[in-house]
Amino acid sequence: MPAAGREQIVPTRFDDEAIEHDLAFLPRAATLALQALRRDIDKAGGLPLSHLKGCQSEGRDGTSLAGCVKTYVPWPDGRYGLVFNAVEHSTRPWGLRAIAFGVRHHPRGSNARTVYQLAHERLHSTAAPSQIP
Amino acid sequence: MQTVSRQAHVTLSGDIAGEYVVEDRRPDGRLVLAPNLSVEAILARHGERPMSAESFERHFGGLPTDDEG
Repeated sequence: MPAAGREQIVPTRFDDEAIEHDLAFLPRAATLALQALRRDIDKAGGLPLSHLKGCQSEGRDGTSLAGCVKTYVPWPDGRYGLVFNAVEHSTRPWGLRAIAFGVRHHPRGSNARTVYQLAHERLHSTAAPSQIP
Repeated sequence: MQTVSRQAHVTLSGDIAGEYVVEDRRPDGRLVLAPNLSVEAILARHGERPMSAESFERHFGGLPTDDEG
């Protein structure tokens, strides 16, 4: 329970493999914006609850992101978005794990995926334990 | 968007370790591998599991939403 008048901070962690992959497809400005956010997260121990929004379980874009939350980078209306899965761990406190970083909106007609489409694919993707077809 | 992709995967150990998915299998037997970036694999790397629906509602149920994603 947060103390009265003090903003609740949500523990926030990253997966370097996923983030490095995402940054490879984004301009330098995205890297700088994410670096600034990560410095703030390191300093505060997480993200303020007020900087989070719920994702939609049935989005208008066809994505299904139940169990996920997001923030905009930079907050509050940056061009980029960071989608998190809410997670639990056997010994660490509950928190957020970043699962996708990318552009919130692409120009009409673009074939590039939004951060929500990327997060949807990762959330609903399963590596098959079967043989290579 | 009910995309559920299932790719073959391999587990590497040695100089390079971890879960990878097979992006391409060449006729000469070479494989093109990429890190497994499924949420399932991401959470497994960190020993985590998705939060239960009840806990999610308790911690995040009151968050605002908007029309995107």
